[in-house]
Amino acid sequence: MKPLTKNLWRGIRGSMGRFIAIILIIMLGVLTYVGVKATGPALKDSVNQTVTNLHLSDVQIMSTTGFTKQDVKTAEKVAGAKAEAVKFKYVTGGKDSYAIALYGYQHNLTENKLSLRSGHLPKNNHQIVLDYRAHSKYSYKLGQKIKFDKSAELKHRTYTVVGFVDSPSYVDNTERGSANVGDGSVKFFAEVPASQMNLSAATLLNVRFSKLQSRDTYSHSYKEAVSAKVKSLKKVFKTRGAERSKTLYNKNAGELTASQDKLTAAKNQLMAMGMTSKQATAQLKSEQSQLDTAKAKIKKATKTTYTWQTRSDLPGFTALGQSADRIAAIANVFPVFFFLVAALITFTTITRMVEEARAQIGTFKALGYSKMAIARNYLSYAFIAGMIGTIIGAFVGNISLPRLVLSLYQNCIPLIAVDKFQWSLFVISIIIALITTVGAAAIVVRSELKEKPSELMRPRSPKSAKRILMERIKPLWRRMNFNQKVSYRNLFRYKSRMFMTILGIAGGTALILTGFGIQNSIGASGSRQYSEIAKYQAVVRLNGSNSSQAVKVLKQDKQYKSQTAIDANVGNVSAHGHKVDDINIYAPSSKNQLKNFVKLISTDNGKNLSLKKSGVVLSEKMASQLKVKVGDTIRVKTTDNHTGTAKVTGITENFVGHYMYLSQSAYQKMFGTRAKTNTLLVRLSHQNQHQREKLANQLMKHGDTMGTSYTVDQQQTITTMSSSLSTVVLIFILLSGVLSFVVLYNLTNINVSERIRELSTIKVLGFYDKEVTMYIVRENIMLTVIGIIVGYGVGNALTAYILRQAATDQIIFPLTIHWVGYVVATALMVLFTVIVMLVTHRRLKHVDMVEALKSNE
Amino acid sequence: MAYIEVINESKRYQMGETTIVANDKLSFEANQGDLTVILGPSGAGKSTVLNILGGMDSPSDGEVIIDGTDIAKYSDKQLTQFRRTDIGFVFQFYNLIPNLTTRENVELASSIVPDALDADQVLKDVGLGDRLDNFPSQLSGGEQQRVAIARALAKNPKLLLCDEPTGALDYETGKQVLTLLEDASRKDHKTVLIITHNSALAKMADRVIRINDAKVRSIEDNPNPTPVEEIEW
Repeated sequence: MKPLTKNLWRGIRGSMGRFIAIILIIMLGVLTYVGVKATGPALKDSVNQTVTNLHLSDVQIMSTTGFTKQDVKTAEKVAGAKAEAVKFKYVTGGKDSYAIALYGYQHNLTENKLSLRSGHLPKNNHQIVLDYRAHSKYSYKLGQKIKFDKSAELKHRTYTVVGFVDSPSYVDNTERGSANVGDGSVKFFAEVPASQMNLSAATLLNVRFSKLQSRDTYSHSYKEAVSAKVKSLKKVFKTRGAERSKTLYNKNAGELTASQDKLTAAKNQLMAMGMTSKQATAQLKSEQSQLDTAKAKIKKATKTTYTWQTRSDLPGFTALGQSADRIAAIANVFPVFFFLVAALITFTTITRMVEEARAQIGTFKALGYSKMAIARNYLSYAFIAGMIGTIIGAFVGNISLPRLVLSLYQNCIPLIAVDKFQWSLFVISIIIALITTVGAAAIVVRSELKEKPSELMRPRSPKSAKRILMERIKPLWRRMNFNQKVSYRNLFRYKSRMFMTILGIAGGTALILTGFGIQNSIGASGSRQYSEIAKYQAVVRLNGSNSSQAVKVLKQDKQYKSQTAIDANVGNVSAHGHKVDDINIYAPSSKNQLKNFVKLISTDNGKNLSLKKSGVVLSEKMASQLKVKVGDTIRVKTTDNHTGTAKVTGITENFVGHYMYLSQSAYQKMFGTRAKTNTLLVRLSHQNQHQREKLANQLMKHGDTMGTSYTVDQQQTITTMSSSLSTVVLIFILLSGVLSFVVLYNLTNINVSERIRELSTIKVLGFYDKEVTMYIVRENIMLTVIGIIVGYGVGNALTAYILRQAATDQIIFPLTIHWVGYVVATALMVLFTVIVMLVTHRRLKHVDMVEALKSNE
Repeated sequence: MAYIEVINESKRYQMGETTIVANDKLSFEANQGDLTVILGPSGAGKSTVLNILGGMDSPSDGEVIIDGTDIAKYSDKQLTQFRRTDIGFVFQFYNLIPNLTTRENVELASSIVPDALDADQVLKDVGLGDRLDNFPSQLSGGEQQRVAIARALAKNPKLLLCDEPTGALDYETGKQVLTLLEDASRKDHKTVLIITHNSALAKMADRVIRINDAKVRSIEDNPNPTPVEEIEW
């Protein structure tokens, strides 16, 4: 080995602490960058893998008249389609007459395969498998019996639970959709052998296109391809639907046809006989009309209508994709900032290292080594440290963070975890890491090598001290004690270190605050929407426009407070060439009462808004998507095909969903028809889950309603959204903490070694150990305080930025950081300062003052 | 009367497997108010003695009695206390804090002792009354050493320890600095100990202790010390 190479290795061994510090900082930066960046894609990849492996259907069709083999053939006429007909029905059963989505199990099906969590699939006609959710949320156990209500129309009433399963149709365990039975919200799904279900035909047709499976299920290209397929399917089913209706009609109307024939014969006979008995004619007439009614009834019953749904209509499926997008959005900001701080620190450390080697560089130069040979020494050091850090960081980051997040999602989502190695991120990391390590070394070495060996071997003449600005402010300066003066002067003397420390602390504080802020703000959108904005607790959809039955049921409920009737509609709104779908259109029957149920508050001036005789009030997010202001005109189309235009009279604060509010008269003007009461907004005092289910059940049975939804359930969805991020947040907090600590520790170390003479001198002068430590730590304390305060500001800005990136088209996240975030961030920074102080104290206590003072400067 | 009594003091350093003996059973005394010079070539072990006398280091064996107390057995904390109140140091390379002005460097020392002298007054006494607000980098070597002496004196110590105080200075400035130390002994009655390899300085001392190869080789009393003014080298 050449002497210079030997020197390099010994140099690394000799300064192991610093070498490890550089590796550690780079590693942390890369780990966070790669890890967080890889998490969003990993989540999507896992969903894709899951739906591909379990053959999730692309399109599901439900029919009022059921599907036969003929329908399967019809569907498969569309290129690439594989169709399977399945029995499916919403039934009630279990402890509290839960609404259950019941599927007929056939072992030979290839689509929407179940994956077992425990037990086995049904082997005989007395066995049933339940949704894993039935186990986790409703505490069903293996071997337990589950009893179904009579209306379920099953061969038996009770079945034995033999397994718990996940289905790719239900990727998010927080919701199972809604149904027209029980209390209206599906609790879990179940699969019982198909023969057990007394249905004349299958009710659900699953269609899968194997060619589409290679596309990312959340991608635009997939969605477009599917909607093209849906179009073709609709085409073939148009004729098939009419055919099916006719077949069924003929079959059911067989008896009627016989009666009709008899009736016609009787009529003809009567006519032929020339008898015109009034009585007989009347009887015939009444029989004929009876027959007609019966026919119409059958016609209605045999009319085929299809309901279409794609993957994005599956409960929770879209939300999961958005959740991955949100993590990806965060990943665009957070780790970049983190990496930046790490890079700056590395730069400082490497710079310091090369500067320390000044005399050594001089010696090599004096011995006649070439510039390249000398430079290679330090560049290699930086390169080795940078590469080790990057490689460890990239691999650990790529494996750990996505896996961690996925495993947490797996608690509530049946996912097959996939994490691919992100090569592009790895390459970016290497480039940045090498710039900060090798780049820093190159810059410093270059400038050092320019000097003559004799100059190099002499220490660099110290930067001459300067008076600081503060001294000019005489009254302030005079009021400070000696120690303060010294600290301030030192702070400003080592400006770069001052900025680095502030940056490190501020960065850590900001990142921790951001972690909390993201979570708080997402939670706040739900909590503020359903406490400040929507003051009702339940929305009851009526069967007709008569609410008296529902109100009667409500009044019997102990928690009931008040209700107001509205015309609730769904539609789309367009203006300036933009269009927003899924708008809730609320026209209250009483403007004055609405105030008690919905808070309308202007986003412009915070004043309460009222509904005008004409014009509409729009919710905030929709207004910004449409780019409309007060006074602009919008165009509305409802799902029941009413259209109209109106002026915007106000924009109201709103966090979740899109709403349009208008008065009865404005409704009349806009759509040319009267608003019809179809929904009740209900205020209730606090209910428990059981009470909610009971009330919904009562309303369904006796209230003449279509269903009841509770705002608490919607809020729950958002709460889940924010808690699903809590691990990511915790990881952020941990990493940011470690980063700040390393920064502070590293810079304090540099500070101490740069000023070891100064510290030894005051030690010799008789400063107590505590005083010596404080001499240097006082600076840290000031910088920490400044850093924390700056961090508060940066944290808020960073959170606001990330929230804007992460916002979905339905939700506004109001910037919210609770005091806990501030307390934790501050406490951690204070803790780090204290730890660094203690470590420094130990080090200074044992410093060899004699040695430090012996040599020339 | 002996202010300093060193009895059989040894100092050994463990360097890997070899033991280096820096002081080997040294014994000597120095009187209160006297100017004592410890003379010896570099590597003789004289700095080690000074470090031990100044409470910067502890001996491996023996007693070091200063003003009637054995500091050899002092804890770190006691040693710091001792340095703080009883000792004034002057180094070859001044060791001023570069980021503090002349006055502040002196205040740094005077701020930690109860009966300190006025910083400005001491600086005037060493002839730097007009350089109070200058930084060390703006001063010459001699001026810097005078600031260092002022810093040592401002603490009003009982004992002034000087390690090669003129080592980095030219002849003239060296003399000025030595005069200040001489005055500290003769006028202010401080006990002054100077370590040097320059045998010419022996003439200014009340007592000269020669150390070589870790041992005391001779102790000479000088009843009529020559004033620094008249010494030449």
